[in-house]
Amino acid sequence: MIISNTSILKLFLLLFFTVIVLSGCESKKPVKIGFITSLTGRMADMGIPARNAVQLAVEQCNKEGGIHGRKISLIIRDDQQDDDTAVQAVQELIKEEVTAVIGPTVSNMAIPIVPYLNNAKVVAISPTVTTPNLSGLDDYFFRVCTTAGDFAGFSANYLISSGDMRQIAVAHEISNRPFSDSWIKSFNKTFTDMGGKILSAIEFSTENECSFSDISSRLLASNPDGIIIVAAPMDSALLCQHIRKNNPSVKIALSSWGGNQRFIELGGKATEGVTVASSFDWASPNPRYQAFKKIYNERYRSDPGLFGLFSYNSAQVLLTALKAQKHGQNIKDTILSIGEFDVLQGKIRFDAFGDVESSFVTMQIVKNRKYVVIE
Amino acid sequence: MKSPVPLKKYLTLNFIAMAVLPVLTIAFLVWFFILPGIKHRAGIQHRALADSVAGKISTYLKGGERQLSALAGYLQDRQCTIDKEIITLLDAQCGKGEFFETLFIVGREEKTIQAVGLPESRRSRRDDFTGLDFSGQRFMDTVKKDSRIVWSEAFLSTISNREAVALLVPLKDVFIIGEITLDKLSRYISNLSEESDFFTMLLDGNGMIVADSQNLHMGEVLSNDFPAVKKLTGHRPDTQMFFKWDGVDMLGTIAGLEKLDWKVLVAQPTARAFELLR
Repeated sequence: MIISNTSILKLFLLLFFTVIVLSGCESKKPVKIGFITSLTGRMADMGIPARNAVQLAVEQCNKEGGIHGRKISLIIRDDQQDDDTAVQAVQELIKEEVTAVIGPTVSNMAIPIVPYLNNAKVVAISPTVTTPNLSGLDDYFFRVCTTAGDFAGFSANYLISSGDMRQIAVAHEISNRPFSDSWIKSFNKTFTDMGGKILSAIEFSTENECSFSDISSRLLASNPDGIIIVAAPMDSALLCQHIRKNNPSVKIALSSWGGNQRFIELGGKATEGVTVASSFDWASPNPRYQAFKKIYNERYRSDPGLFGLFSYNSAQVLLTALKAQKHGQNIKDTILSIGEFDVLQGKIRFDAFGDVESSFVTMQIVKNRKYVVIE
Repeated sequence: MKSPVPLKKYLTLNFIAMAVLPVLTIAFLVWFFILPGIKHRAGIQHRALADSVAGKISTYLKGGERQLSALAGYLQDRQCTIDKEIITLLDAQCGKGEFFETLFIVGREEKTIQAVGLPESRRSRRDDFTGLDFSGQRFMDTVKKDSRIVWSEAFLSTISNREAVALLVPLKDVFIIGEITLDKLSRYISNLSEESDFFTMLLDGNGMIVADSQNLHMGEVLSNDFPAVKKLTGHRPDTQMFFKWDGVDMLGTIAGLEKLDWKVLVAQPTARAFELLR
């Protein structure tokens, strides 16, 4: 068989270009996604399940082929519950040219970093930041949860209507003011409008070596029929134990911030009967949620809880948008044009400002170390 | 006599052969001789480092076990009567929190904290922890049916909310529990890895990063298909592996810790391990 020069040349060129194309495939750049949360400090019980859930979502997406064949690279940063560290972390993520950011998870960290994200036009999707200070703004900040006021109003309404509490004392941890101030304001308004009375309000800061036994004595001094705790799960749990030591029968309610599994784990028997307003259904039969819970449990040997679920939802919103993004379209416009997203316990819809339009809120009570829906 | 192969074709074939043959020869030599050699040398170096780090961590953790066992022996002799002297002793064992961040004496039945030893900086908050119900802590289940010293899985510290592991020593009526925060272990490992391009991590039996020399990944749980996690359940613990870490190709070696179900992974970017080829 005689092979012509042209054929040899064609073969050679074909091989050459195949090698070039294949090496091009190999070097497809990953899509970088930033994730910022509090992995150390008093809010770590929110940050750790959040990180686990986001990692899980990213791994699942990569296993399914990533975003149009590009793998996702997740860059995790710990804000350490410190403004300067959070700003530095966000600047690092912007420098890394991340496509978008998931997080932060606490309102007090969102306030300092959102302006930097807006300047860089980087979309941030927060799982659990509920401060109303970031509502109704045409910016790059999105969130998959409703605002603190919705929970507070619902909680006040229930406590008065059920006759559980009429005269209360409030303990308020001040390190997360963007959340707690708005929660207290909404709660107080509804509660007093409906005839309730606030006997005493005690502000405390865990940064200043506060004593929970002392706070509990001060709360009970006015002889209230109920106590409201607005604090992180760990502090809520420790304070709850001290209140119960001094008065086993006084009713206790938490803000939505404190109601996760860490509260029950640390609070032990003292958490029985405590009520909380939440938009997370611990017993949701939704098959997507059940499947996620199972995988999460197998991998991390714990429940994803509220923070795991909302963080997974945030990741799903972003990944869905990245897959649907058209050439030349930015992420913000893509999310807004999709509008409604299927998440683990139903659907969420964003308004024009990136806030969730509505979400169900339920009143829950701790019974046999589990949250049970009562209304 | 006229050649059956035209000159143009003959020259083309020869030029291609001249270009391709050296490449093939070099590729053959690199693939079959140089790469395995470098991999073997890197393996020896990694294994030596992994064994050394594993040995040092074992010794470090055993120090804690000995400290707590001695304390347990003393308490056993005194039949666990909690008084001021015991609290002072617990505080002294914590010191400035160099090893144990907190020491608890917890009742076996009711699972409440009977006494707590704290580092100097936290002693003013002792009343907040004494008498607390500890029954909700998941790691308390670790020793339900076990009567020997055990290390817990990672959990969030009751005192600092930092990720920690606990050493539990069961006595007749109480447990002595020592909490060690993971960042402390990470700092210890960072100091052991003198070579900056080496990355060291300590993994527990479930693939969780108990500590890492970059102090960035502690508490993360590796997925089951991560090579190091596959090796955790394998029969040959001291083996080499290639894997991707933070988008970088790495060459690593895993070594077991004495007694504990933990492993040390020492890794280096493959680009550095194979830099002789560059």
